[in-house]
Amino acid sequence: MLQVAVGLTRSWTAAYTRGLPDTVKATRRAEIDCDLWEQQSLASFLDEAGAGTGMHILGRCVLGIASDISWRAQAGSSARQEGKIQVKDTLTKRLVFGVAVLIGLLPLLMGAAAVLDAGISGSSADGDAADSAIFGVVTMLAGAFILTGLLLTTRSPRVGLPVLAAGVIGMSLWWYWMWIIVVPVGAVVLGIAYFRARQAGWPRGTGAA
Amino acid sequence: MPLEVSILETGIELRLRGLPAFHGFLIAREIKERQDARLLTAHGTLYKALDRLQRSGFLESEWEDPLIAANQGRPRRRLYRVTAAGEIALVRSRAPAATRGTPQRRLATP
Repeated sequence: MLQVAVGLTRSWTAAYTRGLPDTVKATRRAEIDCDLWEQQSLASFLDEAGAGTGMHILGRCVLGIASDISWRAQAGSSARQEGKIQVKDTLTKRLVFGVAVLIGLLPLLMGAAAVLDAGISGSSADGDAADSAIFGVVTMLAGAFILTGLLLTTRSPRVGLPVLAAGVIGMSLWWYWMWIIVVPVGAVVLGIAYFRARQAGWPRGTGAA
Repeated sequence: MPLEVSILETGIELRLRGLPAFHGFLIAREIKERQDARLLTAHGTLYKALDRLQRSGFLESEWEDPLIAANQGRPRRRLYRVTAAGEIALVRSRAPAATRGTPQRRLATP
């Protein structure tokens, strides 16, 4: 649990600092690395359970996501003003977006599988099959919202981002027992969509619906 | 109380206790103890506030000597110090309510 939390926090830091000037990026990553090390070191000194420390680290990461995103927007904007960010690696950006779309496809596929399974395993009068079907339909709906939102982020961010957020929130609530995975992954997908919308000129420029 | 004010207060308190500089995790732990909170300040919230205070001139920072970190077998710390401007801003934030705006607004300008 501890290593998962540390890994997720580092991955999230790497994701939201991507594309920033090297010094800004390296500074933030080194600071978070140091913080993670200090927290683990103190927990180990106090003989605290790894799972508890892991949950604490993950909580700190998740609760700070909104601040991270707004800090990223400010840092990116000042770097652009100073001409430090070069438009580069469109292939990487497309790959990142592709991964986000694949993540959006997952609930759609899992929901479809649950509906199919309900159809195969019993009639609608069967309580388990009905539950499974409802579960599948809601999951598919959340997936559809996520995919639609993602695909609308550059053309119509004002519609796309709220639709995507609704899908991510719906998925997090519906899959609440998997929050430890769904919430960080959803936040990363939202972050990717947000950066795409910003690159497309949102909120001032071409993208607004 | 805004986090920025807590950081400045805690930084000055640490200095009075013989620690002239602090790193992110240390200030988070001290604030947690002062406020008797259950959780440490979130990473994003803490480092954004530190960044903002530094850009406003209320904090200055430097990376510690890599040899010290290497000798202790840990990553390098970014060490922050409260500046004179930070102390003044903190004093102003404690001024009577009639003579001031919100602490956050005042902290935004040195």
